[in-house]
Amino acid sequence: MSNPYEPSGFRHDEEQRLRDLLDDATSDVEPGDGLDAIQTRTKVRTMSGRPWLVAATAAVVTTAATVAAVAVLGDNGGPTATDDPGPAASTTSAAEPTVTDDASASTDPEPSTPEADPVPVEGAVPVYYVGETGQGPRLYREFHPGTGGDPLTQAVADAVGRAPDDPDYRTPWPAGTQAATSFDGAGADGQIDIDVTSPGTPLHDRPAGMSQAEAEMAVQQLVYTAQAAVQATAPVQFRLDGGRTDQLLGVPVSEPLARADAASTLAQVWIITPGEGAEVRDGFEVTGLGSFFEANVAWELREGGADGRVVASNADRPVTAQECCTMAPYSFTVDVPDGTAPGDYTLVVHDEDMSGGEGFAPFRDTKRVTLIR
Amino acid sequence: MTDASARPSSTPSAGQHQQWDADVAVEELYAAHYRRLVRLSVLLVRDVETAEEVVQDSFVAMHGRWHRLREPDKALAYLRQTVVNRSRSVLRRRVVAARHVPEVLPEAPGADETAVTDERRTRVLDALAALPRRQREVIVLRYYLDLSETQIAEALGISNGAVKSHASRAADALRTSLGPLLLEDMS
Repeated sequence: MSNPYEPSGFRHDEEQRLRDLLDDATSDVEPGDGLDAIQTRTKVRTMSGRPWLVAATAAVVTTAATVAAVAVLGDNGGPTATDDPGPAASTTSAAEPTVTDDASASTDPEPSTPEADPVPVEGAVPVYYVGETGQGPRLYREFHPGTGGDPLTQAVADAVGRAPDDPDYRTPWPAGTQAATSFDGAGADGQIDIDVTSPGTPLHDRPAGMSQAEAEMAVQQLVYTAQAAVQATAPVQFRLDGGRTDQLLGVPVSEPLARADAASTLAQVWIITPGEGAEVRDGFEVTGLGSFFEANVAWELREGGADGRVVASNADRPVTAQECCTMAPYSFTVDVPDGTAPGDYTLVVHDEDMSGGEGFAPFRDTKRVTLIR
Repeated sequence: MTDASARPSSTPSAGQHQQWDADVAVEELYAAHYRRLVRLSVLLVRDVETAEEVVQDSFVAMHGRWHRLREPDKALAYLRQTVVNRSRSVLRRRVVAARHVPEVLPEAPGADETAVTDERRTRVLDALAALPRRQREVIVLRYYLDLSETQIAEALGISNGAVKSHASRAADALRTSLGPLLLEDMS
């Protein structure tokens, strides 16, 4: 194999020797058959709960009282180096020192991850909701005006009991569900407790009519919401009706849970602004987060609903997100053609030319807006 | 080199894959690259079971993206990136009570030679584990997968210059930690 670049630091013989050593170091590794395990998960289009159960299981190694030792960080698992886009990601660096087997934490500082996920309203509370996508139920996020109380309490209460502003989203929790929350305040080393109760509906088993994917999303909805509200990726210990429980909606929750992999949990396109129902003027700015193929952000402004006539689109103004293939910030402005009538429009942002699809429904987010002069 | 299965040159040439759907892509790429990708992850996370999970997760992710990747080369590049990134995430999640090195081979006739081999492997894995994460990733992509500087830069989302400087610092560290092992001829 030719050497494509002048290696810094190694002589040629050392390089070859290092190749041999690396080959040798794993030459006894013979993985078992993994194809069945993969196909089980690819042939059924449900979200595997495994990524976060693995993390949760890891937590058990310490005792329940010392979960502080767990380092649970955002993980989008995507193919680029960017970290999790969630609001708690800004605390990632603070959490890093708990990782002792990764010397980079102290000696190899990362270039700072672009973390452009601003809270649009001072004092706003982040709340995740479930929305339907081509890949099944996924999480979207809204910001609700803070009511002046504890953000964690409000965010989780909203997540289980308040209708989302965007009618495309929903809370998967049965009507009447309530949640009491607490956080020990120890950052990512701490623990969030969420005690869920529902007077009308038993929540231990998965209710009839709720899919497993939906149930897993319901649990993750609260994990993401709570972590965002406290700005720390602390594991979440669920309780049911005031006591310990092995499961919630049929999802195992006996141990503290980490957030699930973002790539398989979050809808991969979010519009952050404008909000649902906002009034906008010609030249309004759109911001959001999304994972786009080759970072190309596709968008249209449509008359009326999401199926309406296109009045403006990225064909007029190509847009790229900051990075490809991971939840990365994007923004663009919408200039409507002269003569466009004021009224109701729908902004659609998606990750691919929808007309060229082959049965795959790309991720998208939509917002109804009212164009004013 | 004893196993070239995950190296770029071994992917099917253009044309052979045109009929592949996502399921076929999984099967084909699994057959050609699974073992080497698991070994790649082992070099990064030092645990076979974890590595298998990482690689399986990566195949599932690749399956979901096949409609965009369409070509084995792109799919393999995606798999590599995903394995590296997920290996990193696993490290971060890992509990402080660290797992141990892959199992030591059982005592057997010829145990002396086995012990020497084991010690060598352990030293290499130790030396890798002691590197800062980026340096470890650069070294493994460069010398285990034989990626070019540009490919490494793309896979890690860093500049070519950063690849160079990580490689250079890693070389200094490995020369110290591996010492004579870098000079000996392997029997």
